[in-house]
Amino acid sequence: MAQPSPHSSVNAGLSPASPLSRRARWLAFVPLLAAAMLLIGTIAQWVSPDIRATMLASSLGMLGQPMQPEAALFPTAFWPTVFRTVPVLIFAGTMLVLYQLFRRFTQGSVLDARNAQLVSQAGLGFILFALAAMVANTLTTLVLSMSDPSTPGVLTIGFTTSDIGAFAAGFALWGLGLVLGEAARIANDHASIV
Amino acid sequence: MTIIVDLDVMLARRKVRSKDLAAAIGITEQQVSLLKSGKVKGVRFETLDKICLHLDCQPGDLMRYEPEKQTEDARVF
Repeated sequence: MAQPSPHSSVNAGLSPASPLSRRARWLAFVPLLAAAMLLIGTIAQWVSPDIRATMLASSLGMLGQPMQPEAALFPTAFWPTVFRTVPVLIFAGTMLVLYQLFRRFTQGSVLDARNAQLVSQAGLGFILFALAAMVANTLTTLVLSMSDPSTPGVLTIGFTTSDIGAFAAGFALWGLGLVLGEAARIANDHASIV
Repeated sequence: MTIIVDLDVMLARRKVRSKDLAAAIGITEQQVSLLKSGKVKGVRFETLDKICLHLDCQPGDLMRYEPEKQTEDARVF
């Protein structure tokens, strides 16, 4: 009876019925859910001045403190809301990348160059998200302070624990993607050796 | 590729089918087919050993080196 080489199975992928494929089918919806929740929050921010006021206060690091009601109204709050929307769109894009990755796991592709590329892309997405969130907070402070005669043009650069977390996760995923790419290349080489 | 695999010739000489060789040495028929067509990046000594044992031949009977022929353009420049 012919036995396949142990190395040839490394890059052969999984059957769609394997435990990983079944779990990946469910896990694929987690990033979609996260993206949907953030997008709903952003839409609410654009529609409701109350929610916008809360979001802007959190951007300024003054959650729970009294805020001038007109600061959360358009047109004053237009650009700050735009700034807050950009990181959300980047995050949604990153979640779509993760969704694609889990879909590929579902289809049985595990260790290949495309998956490694997707992991790296997700890492870069998290890094960009953290950077965009920091820039958004800085610009929000600047724009809101310029519209307030008592604090003309305040520039504060700050970062939160979640920004640092996103940075760390991003760098880890990016590095992991590079390692997976190399592993996929080695596996491919092994598969071509009889 | 300058390494020419003559496994198919050896199989014909010994009157052994690819399927039987694959079963005897523990690799798949697909791998034997890839090896015959030279579409592999390498052959393990272990595999080579088993093939030589089964076909009663030397590694040199299974593969040979043939220098690449220079093209007309390459000779001119």
